[in-house]
Amino acid sequence: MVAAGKSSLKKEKKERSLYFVRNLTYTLMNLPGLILTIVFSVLPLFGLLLAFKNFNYVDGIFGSPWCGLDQFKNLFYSDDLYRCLRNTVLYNAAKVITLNIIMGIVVALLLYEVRNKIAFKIYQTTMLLPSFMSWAIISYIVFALLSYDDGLINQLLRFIGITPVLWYDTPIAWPFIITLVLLWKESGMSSIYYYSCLLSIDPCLFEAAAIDGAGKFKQIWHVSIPVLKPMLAMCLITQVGNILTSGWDHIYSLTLNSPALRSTTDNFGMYMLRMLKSGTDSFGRGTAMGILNSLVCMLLVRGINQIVKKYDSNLAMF
Amino acid sequence: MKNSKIFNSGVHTFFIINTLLMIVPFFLVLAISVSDEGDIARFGYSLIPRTFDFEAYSILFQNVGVLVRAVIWTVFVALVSPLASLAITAMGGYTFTRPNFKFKGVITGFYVVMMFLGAGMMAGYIVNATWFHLVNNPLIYFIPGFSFWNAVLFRTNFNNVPEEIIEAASIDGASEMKILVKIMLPMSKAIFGMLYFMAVVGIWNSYNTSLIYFDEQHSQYWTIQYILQRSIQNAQYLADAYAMAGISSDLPLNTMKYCVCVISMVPLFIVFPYVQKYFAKGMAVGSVKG
Repeated sequence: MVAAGKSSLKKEKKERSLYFVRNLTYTLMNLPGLILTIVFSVLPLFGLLLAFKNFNYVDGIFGSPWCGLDQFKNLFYSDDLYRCLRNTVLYNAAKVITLNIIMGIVVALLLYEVRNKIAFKIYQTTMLLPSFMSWAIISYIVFALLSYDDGLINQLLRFIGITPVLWYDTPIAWPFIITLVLLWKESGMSSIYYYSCLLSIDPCLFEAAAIDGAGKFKQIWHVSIPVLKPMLAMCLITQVGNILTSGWDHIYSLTLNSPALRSTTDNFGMYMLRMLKSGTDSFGRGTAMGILNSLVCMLLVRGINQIVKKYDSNLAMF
Repeated sequence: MKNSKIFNSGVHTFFIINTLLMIVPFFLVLAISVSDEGDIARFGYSLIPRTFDFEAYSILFQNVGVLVRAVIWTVFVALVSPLASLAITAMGGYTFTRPNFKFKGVITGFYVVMMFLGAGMMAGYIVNATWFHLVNNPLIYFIPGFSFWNAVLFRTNFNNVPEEIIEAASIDGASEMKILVKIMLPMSKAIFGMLYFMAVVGIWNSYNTSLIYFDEQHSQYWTIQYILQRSIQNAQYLADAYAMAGISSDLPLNTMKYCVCVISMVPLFIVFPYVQKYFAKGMAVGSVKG
């Protein structure tokens, strides 16, 4: 009896020490990631203090003199904030509607109808090609089309007898150009997400619908679309979340960072980049704009989430 | 029956047009790069070159200095810098699969919060500049990072490995690191390869770091995409770069620009079939969970 009790006690002790060693190893394995995240993601949060300071390199981040809410006041009184806000919201709305809702779903639905294996492979592969190319490369393609002297589109206009357009001097055209190019580049990638959802449908459902007399479009509407809804909701919310981080490099590339186009192509990212490049005096203003960017982004994510929730509470993210 | 035939041919027509739209622009770039500079000045760009002329390529390769150095530097950065990130992420992802890891919840929570709580481009730049002195410092390209999304992907993959194998290995005395390196990683080669090549493509394609962190005095650290971006924004950039290297007589700048563009596309075309294969597969796997 006693011996048995002792051995079980020993076993328990051994197990506990094994548990401890295991947890120690796991924690050590997580350490590099945690340290890097703290150094390069948590510490930069202190940089946000600069939105309330007049920064100079000599005094550093903590030493620079405070200036209260001056940076925000300046932003509210200037046109920059409203221009950035309008462009950011409109560009993203255009992107969400054309890319996710229309193009992604339509291409996925059509791709689902392709039964020929070889044709499917070719279509899918070529669709993904532009999304692997950089924005710098694509700006060369757009330049070859839109250049005033040599561009293909102006050659066509001259051929028909219309006066050629100075595209890189026409701000009003660029929201359409940028959205079209985005659509061209990303539609393949976007449709893959929806296509992989469609693969989870049991083909019997289509047969049953066909027997019940549903045509092709009725089948798509009643069988395919409901399956795509959760993915659509997820794409919408993550897309809006992306406003925070992405969204300037394609504009920087395609417009060739041209000041003439700024009225319709400026956004939060472009503004911050300009402040970053124009010296220490404007760092405070750029940081303030960054904070406003985060606020807008959070509000939009919440708003979209609320709309999705109202529509179907299961699809909302939180 | 007839109806569905019309529908099918409609679908194929759509995709054939789509395929052409996806490929022809890249032919255009290639065509311009082998066109004659005089033809472009006279007639503009065209999809089919009137006369083939490889002068621009020969000038680019005559002088090894400017361009080839940038290509080698970018290849080096793209191939080396994702390695540490992936190793760190794989280690984290592995611990998330262990059932008796006590701090799993706390660590996951931390990463999720950090995903939403970003400092943004501006604050990040200032902290990197003042505290870490990373401006004009090539180390900025090699700072690894933990990617929570990739860790989740790793976890999903590691979960497919039967628990018995891990138990057997640990009874045989394998340490956790050994289990990860000798069992888990070989059994999820596909996801590792995909994430690695996606990261390589991403770094090859980005010019943000060069644009934000390096000035003109440190142009030797610019990656190829930034040189590409520079030379289309500033027509004089390539001429200046080659003048510094001692070549200045009448460069065919227009075609040279497009040659640089073609050269920067070549590695992508090499990697593309490989990545695309895993990408289509990986997406299908990931979507089941999402």
